[in-house]
Parts: sequence; C-alpha cells; structure tokens
Amino acid sequence: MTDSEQNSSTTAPVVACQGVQRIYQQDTVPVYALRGADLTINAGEFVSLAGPSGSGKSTLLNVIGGLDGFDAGSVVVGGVDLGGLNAAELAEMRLRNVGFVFQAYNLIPVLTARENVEFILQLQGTPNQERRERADAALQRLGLGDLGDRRPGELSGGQQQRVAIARAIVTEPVLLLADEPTANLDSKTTEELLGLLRDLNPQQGMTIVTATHDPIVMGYTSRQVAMLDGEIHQDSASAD
Amino acid sequence: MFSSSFISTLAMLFNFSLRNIVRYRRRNFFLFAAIAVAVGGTTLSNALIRGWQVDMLETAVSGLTGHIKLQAPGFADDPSLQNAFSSLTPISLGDNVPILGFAQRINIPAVISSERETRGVALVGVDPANEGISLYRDFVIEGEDLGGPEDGRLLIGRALAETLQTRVGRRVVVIMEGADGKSRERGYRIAGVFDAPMKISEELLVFTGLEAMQAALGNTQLRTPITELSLVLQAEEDRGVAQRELAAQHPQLVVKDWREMQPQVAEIVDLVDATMAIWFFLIMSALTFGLVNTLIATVMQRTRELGMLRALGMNQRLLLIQVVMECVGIMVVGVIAGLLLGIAMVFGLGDGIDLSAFSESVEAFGMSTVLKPVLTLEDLLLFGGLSVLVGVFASYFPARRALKISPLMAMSR
Amino acid sequence: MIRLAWRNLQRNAARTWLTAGGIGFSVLLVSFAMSLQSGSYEIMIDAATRYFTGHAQISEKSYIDQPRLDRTLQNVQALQTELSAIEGLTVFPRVQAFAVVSMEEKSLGGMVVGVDFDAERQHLDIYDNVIEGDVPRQADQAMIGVSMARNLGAAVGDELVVLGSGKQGAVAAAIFVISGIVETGQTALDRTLVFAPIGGVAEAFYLHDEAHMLLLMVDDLSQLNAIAAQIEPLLSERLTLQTWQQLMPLIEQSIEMDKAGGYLFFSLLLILVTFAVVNTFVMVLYERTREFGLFMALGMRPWQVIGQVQFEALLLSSLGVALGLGLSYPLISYLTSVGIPLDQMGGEEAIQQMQMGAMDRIYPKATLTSLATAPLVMMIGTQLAALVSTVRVRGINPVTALRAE
Repeated sequence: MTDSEQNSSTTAPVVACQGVQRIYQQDTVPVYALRGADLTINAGEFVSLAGPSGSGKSTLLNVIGGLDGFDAGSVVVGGVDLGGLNAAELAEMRLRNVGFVFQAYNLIPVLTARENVEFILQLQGTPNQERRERADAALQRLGLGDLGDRRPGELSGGQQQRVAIARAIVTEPVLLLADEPTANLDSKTTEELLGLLRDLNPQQGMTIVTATHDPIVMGYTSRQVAMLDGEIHQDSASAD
Repeated sequence: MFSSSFISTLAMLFNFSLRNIVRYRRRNFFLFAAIAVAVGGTTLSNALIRGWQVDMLETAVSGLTGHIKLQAPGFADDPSLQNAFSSLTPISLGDNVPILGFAQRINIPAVISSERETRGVALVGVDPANEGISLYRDFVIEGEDLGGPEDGRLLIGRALAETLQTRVGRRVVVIMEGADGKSRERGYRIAGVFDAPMKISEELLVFTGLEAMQAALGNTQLRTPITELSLVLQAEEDRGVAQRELAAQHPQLVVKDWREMQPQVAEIVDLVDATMAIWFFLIMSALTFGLVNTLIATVMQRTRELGMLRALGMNQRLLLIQVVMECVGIMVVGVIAGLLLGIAMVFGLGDGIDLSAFSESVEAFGMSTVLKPVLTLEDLLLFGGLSVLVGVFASYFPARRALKISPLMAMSR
Repeated sequence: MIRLAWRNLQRNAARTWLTAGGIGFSVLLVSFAMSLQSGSYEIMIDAATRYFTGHAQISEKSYIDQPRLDRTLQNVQALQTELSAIEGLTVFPRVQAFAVVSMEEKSLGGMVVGVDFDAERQHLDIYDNVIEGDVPRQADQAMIGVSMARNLGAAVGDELVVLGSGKQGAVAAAIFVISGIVETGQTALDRTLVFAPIGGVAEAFYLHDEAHMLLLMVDDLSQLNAIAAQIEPLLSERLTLQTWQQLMPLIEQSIEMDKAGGYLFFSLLLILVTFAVVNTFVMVLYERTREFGLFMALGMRPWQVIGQVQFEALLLSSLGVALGLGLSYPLISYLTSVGIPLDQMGGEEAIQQMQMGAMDRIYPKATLTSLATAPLVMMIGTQLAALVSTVRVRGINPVTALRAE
C-alpha cells in the first residue's frame, strides 16, 4: 500500500517499516502492541499518526525513534537498519539522526533554555563557539531569541515546548518525532506551535512524524495515518 | 585518550551536577546535615584522640627518656656506676638530622631517709642547663633550683617531701652504691622542692648536680662518668636514622629509641591510629545507609529527566558519570560543611578540655590533665578525602539504578 | 491502618530497607558497644581488685595519707574473727613497712609486705605471676619483685637483709632467704616489693596483734556496698573502710573516661542516623505531595495525614530496631558465653599499664540500659523526624498539590 510513495520519490525514504511487530509480556499474557505495521515516510513529509489509546501509535513512534525494540519485521531510519543495533548504537543513531519533542516538554530544569539546546550539541561533540551560534540560531528561528537565559520554570508551556523543538532541530536531524506535542497546550498556543512546525517542514526539508489525538494537529499535517489494534488502518497518502 | 570535546562534555556534566545539587538543596538539607555531623564529629574526635596521642608522646619523651637514649650494655641489669661510660661531648649527627638538645646524667637507684621515713628513689645527677629537653623544664620549684652541675644539694618532689615529712633547707641521708661497688651514706641539704605534672615523678625522682655526684660516688677509671645520655631530635621521625648513626658512632653502647624504652606508650600511640580508623569506618558505614537512600531517590525522582537524556542519545557511560559526579558532589558539599563544623568545634574548645577530674587515670595513661585537641592538615585531608571516597562507593547503587533507566521512560506522562 | 502503612513502606522497598538498615546498624553498633563496655568494666574492676588491692580495705584513718608504721589496727585477730562471721566475706591482714633492702654491698629502698600467703593465694592473682621459685613457706623466707632482684643481682636462695625503723623508733632488722621472684608487670611494684610471711615481718618491726590493713574480698561484688554497711558499725572511730572506688580511683576514672568517649561516639552516631532518617521523610513528603493533596481533597484532615505518616514511622523504626537487636542480641549472648580473647587483639602492654593483671578475655554483658538505649533514641528520633518533615502538610493546598509533579 505504500508502493506509490516509494515510486514517486527520487531519494531513499527516511523511514521504512515493514511487518513490524511489538509484543509485550503482561504477566504471562502476550499483548500485541504492533501486529505487523508497514509504513514508509519520505523526506519532507509532515505525518500525523492518529488512533485511539492502545492503537499502537506511540509504540510505532518509539520503535521508529529507536527508543523501543521490536520483535519482528524491519525498521530502517535514514538508511540505518535498526534491527541489528545494540543499545549504544541506538543511542548514537538517536543522537545523529532523530530529534524528539515530548508531550511533557522534558527540558532539563536546572539548565537555561540555551543550555538545554546546547546540551545535545555538546553530546555530539560540537566545539564551543559553533555550539553557541547554532543554539542561538535555533532559538531565534522559534522566536525565542531573547529568552535564552531563562530556565524552563520561568517559561510558559508553549515557550517550553518551543525550546524543546529548538533542541530537537538544532542537530539538523533527518527525522523529527513528536509525541502528543500539544496535549498540554491551549488551542491558541497549539496553533502557533503547529505553524512553526509546518514552517520548518518545507524550509529545511525536515521530515516530521507526530503521534496525536488532536484534529487540529491533523489539520496541519500533509499526510494522516490512522492506526487501530497495532496496524495501519488508514493512510491519506494511499487513499489519494 | 580524552579528546578535548570529551573534557568539555565532562565540564558540562559537572555544571549540570552542580546545579542539581543546588536545586535539591532543601530536599537534601538533612542529608547534608547528617554528613556534616559525621565528618564534623569525626574531625573533633580525631583531633581529641590525636591531641591525646601527641600529649602522650611528648610526656613519654620529655620524661628522662628523650627520643633516643644511650646506656652501657650492663646497665639494665645492674644500674650502678660499674656500668657507666665516659661523657660523649660533642655529639653530632650531621646537618640532615638536627638535634634539639641532649643531656648527660648519672641515674642510679638510691635510698633516701629523713629522720622519720625512708624511701627508694632514683638519684639523678644533672647539669640543669642541659635539662631543657626533659620534664625538668616544667618543674615549679619552691626554694632554689640547682645552681649548676657542681651543686651538691638536692631537688626533690613535692610528694616525696610530704612522705619524708621534710622541707626546703632540711637535711636528708642518701644511701647509694659508690664507684667501688660499696654502699655509701651521705648527708644532703634540700635546695628545692619541685611540683611536676605527674605525681609519680614527684615520688620517684631526686636531682643533684652531676659533677657533685661524680665526686660523691668516688673515682672510676673514667674521667667524667655518666650512666645515660638522652637526646631529643627536632623531628621525631628522624629517630631511626639517628639511632643507626649513634649506634655506629658508639658501638660499645646500647642505643634505644623511646618506643623500645616505653613499649606501653608506643603501643598505645599505635592503637590510637587504629582507633581513629575504626571510629571513622563505623560512622561512615552508618552514614552510607542514609547516603545511598537519598542518592537512589535523586535518581528515581528524575527517572523521566534521565530517560529523556537517554532518548536524546546520551550514552550510558556519560549518564553514569553524571550520576557519580552528582553523588560525589553531594558528599563534597557535606564534607566541607562537616570539616568546617569540626574545625569550629575544635577552636571552640580552645585551650582544651580540663581532665583534672580524672587526674589519676590520665596520669596512668601518660597524659597531662588538659587535653588539647590537635588538628593536622594531613588528618583533615585524609579523612575528608576518605569521606569523598565513601561518596564514590555509595554512588554505585544509584548508578546501578540509573543503568536501568530506558529512554522509553521519557515518554511517561 | 497498619496495612496501609505497611503498603506505603513497601511501595519503596529499597528505601524502607535502607532506612531500617541504617536504624538497625546504629542499634546493633550501639547496643553491642554498650554491652561490651559494661562487660569490660566489670572485668576491669574484677581483675584490678583481685590482683593485689582487694575489694575493700580497712585501715587506720591517718594511715591513708601518711602510711607510717605506727598507724596500725589493734587487736587484729579479734576483729578478723568478728568480720569473718559475715556471710560472703573473706578477710586477711597485712602489715607493710618501708625498709632498706640490702644484699652484699647493694642496697635499695623497698616495701616489705607481710601477708598470710595461704589465705591470699586463694583470692588474689598476683601470686600467679611467680616466675621463679615459689611463695614463702617458712617465716624466714621472702619473695621479691623481678626488678629488685635484677638491681640487687639476687637469685632464689640468696639472703636479703632488711633494715628499717620499727615501732617507737627501734631498729628493725630481719634476714630473709629468697624463695621466689614475682613479675607483676608494674615497674613500681617489681622494683620495691618484698613479700614475707606476716608473722616474721610483724615480729621484726615489733608489731603485736597489729596490722596496717585488713583486706576484704567479697564473693559477689554487687553485694559490696551492703556488706560495707554491715561492717561500718563494727569499726572504731579511728578506723575507716575504703572500697575499691576509693582505693583505685584510676579504675573508676578510666571507666568514666571510657564512658565519656563512648557517649560522644554514640550520640554522634545516633544524631547522624536521625538526620538521615529525617531526610528520608522529607523525600517521602516531596514525592507524596500529590497523594496527600488527594487525601485532603477527599476530606482528610492534615492531622490525619500526619498521623498516617507517624504510623509509618513507627513501623519503620520498629523494623530497624528489630533488625538491629535481632543481630546484636544473639551476638552478645554468644560472646557472653565465649568471651572475646584480648591477646589476639594486641595491646597487652597497654593492659598491663592499666593494672589489669590477669585479664585475658572480656565478656560483653547485656543490660537493660545497653540494649534499650539505642532503640529508644532511634524510635523517638524517627517519630520526631517524621513529624518535622510532615508538619508542612498543614500548608498543602489540595489543588496545587494535585498538580505537583
């Protein structure tokens, strides 16, 4: 069902999942979180993963991000096959290729906004001067130019989430994953934030995948994927 | 091995840890207090124990022993002028082993009688000018001090004077063994009565001029006979070198250091170090429970934050380094507070603790009646450093917890 | 409520066990050390008094400060017979006199002690330290200290001349054959002591039915004060009874000093563990702010929340105390029956220095104080710790608490 996508793209897909299964043992009962999900995402797409609780959308997002393992199938992100990677290699993959935005922002409370953004560049081993410039540029782009010295506690929810996005994009990842990024925000802030994400999308050719319940979010995305019971239920790309 | 970017990553982690410690300062206040009490209390008790040790050592050495004593080989079995040797001046151990001073004496058993009582004593012939290295310098004298080595009068202790029911200016009879091996009896006038820090010296020691005593004991083949030479070095640690050097210079004599002459004191001095170590070990063990507890909690409370760091791609090694840094940081803060507390308490004691209520037992332990705490930089650094090591050890447990944190935990809501 | 408290403790099992472990460790340490102390004091007293001094002594009042020959007890035999009637008490007389002790050309000052060897040997340990020969069997024999023997160049079989002043200033002289040499371990005694049968010494110094002291040994040291009270009325005005506390202030002061050091250590330990426990509860409160907010939103009063935490604290400290006592009590009981050998711990010289004589093992002794002090302090400390850290719940606003992370 994703053939059309692959064919229409001139470059390799950013994400290629085939027959992904994820089984959790709950007590002794196996629970299928993913029952063979197939999904291919090309560069520059802004994809929403929707579905009720337990549909597997978060699990799929986690698997794509290399946060969680999988039990069958294959997952290739940015040309890297995640199947054969150990924990350290997965960490390295996340560090280089993937940016994360979380529902609960997850900023480091003791660091300022700029330091939060710089933190990940530091992990990548970026030299001091460049780190500072890139962090400032990322904050600037998200309209936080003059809030760099504030700590998360001194920022509003929307501002914190923008810092989180700055942190996610500052490394120029091939893929940005956002798990319910607007769930804690009011609708006005949500719209602002989505506008920013959408602007990032064509500007940088950033590929974005977001898991969400929120129809507002889906309205902003270029492709809507619905999940149910661990499988892809509907895909606006294949429906076209 | 460490690239500059790794070092700057460490610097960042350090900064991060520091801020976390500041952030949770209220939550961890009582942990800091517990560490401070442990380290401060240990510092205080160590200073007291060390003070005791120094005091005992000083008392032992400033008796008539000195750091090193030279005697003729037969003297231990037959303490008489038969086992004397000739004055050794001048004495030198070279520039590397500076000498504080030395004293040459005749020190033999004698019997002293007043018209009322008789006691056995040690009769010591001294040159008062050289006794600045011995307990002699601490005497408080009623009457007159000995005028010099030629002074033929006696200086006796307060306790002995009371037992003999005699006083300054009175005469006593002394029976001693002369150079010829025969007992001789001689009358002496008491020049002065001394008060010494320890009662046993007041009971046992009777001083007279060395030259006068040489004359009284009669001729030996030696021109200036002495029975002992006691020597005090500027640095006690040099005693081994000094002992070897003196033994080489005077092969005909027995050269002993204070540890051999006062084995009880030496043993107690050694026990002190063990006591300090055991004390510290037990206190730190007790502290470890609380420390580990809090450290695990700091990791548990931040599961999501640490999970996020993992999700962002921080590897486990860096995460571990961060956890350890934070634990050690907490310990360092507590230890510094504890050291300051300990130092403050030691200075608060100022002139020391008056132990005169325990006068008999402190004397038996070879101490003076005021216990002055002694703080040494080495002790502070050693115990401070060991405490921080305890922090490293304690960080093992939270670090193990931190290893279990998976990046997925960042996703919890 | 117990169940709820227990569940809450189980919720963070690692923390509960660590806190209980800390409490338990301090209880173990303090109860063991205190038992060891009380045991070692007893044995110190026993060893010291059994050595040479006795549990108590009766002497003429002025003899204590100025031990002069003429300050004696009179009618000793009658008094001895009278006292011996008291149950659990043994009495033996001693005379002592300073004298010049000479052998050939050498003379030394010495103290001649006349004793009843057959009686003393059964009760005192000093006679176990005869290193050469034996105690005197006949009136003209004597036993001397090892240093005196060395200084005089004397050996068993040699003759000693003892010259002193007898009663009323007469010259006292006696000749003794050395039957044995004793090494007491205390230089002062080894240098000066001459032991001889009491009859011979009394005769030489012109003493008739007189003694300088009566040594008292009781069968049960804890009965000493009661027996002393029984004796006091039998003594004339001139006489006085001194118990070991007065005779050997050294021992009592050593015990006091040791106790003082112990208290410093114990209080340090208990304070720091209490602080650590406070910290645990502070953390508990932070973590459960939301939960407490919920309780209060449901209508629970702050004091009920405090009570709940108090209950948890009680359970926690009980657990710790049970842990500590559960380990220390069997250990103490075991060591009480077996004893801790001292010779393997070194410090023999130090023990001799402290006049410990024949003390080779110490036996810890569990007393109510030694077992109950640490648990009591820890339990009170834990309750206070919980209280201090939970009084803040009164200020909790249920709405903000529910939003807390």
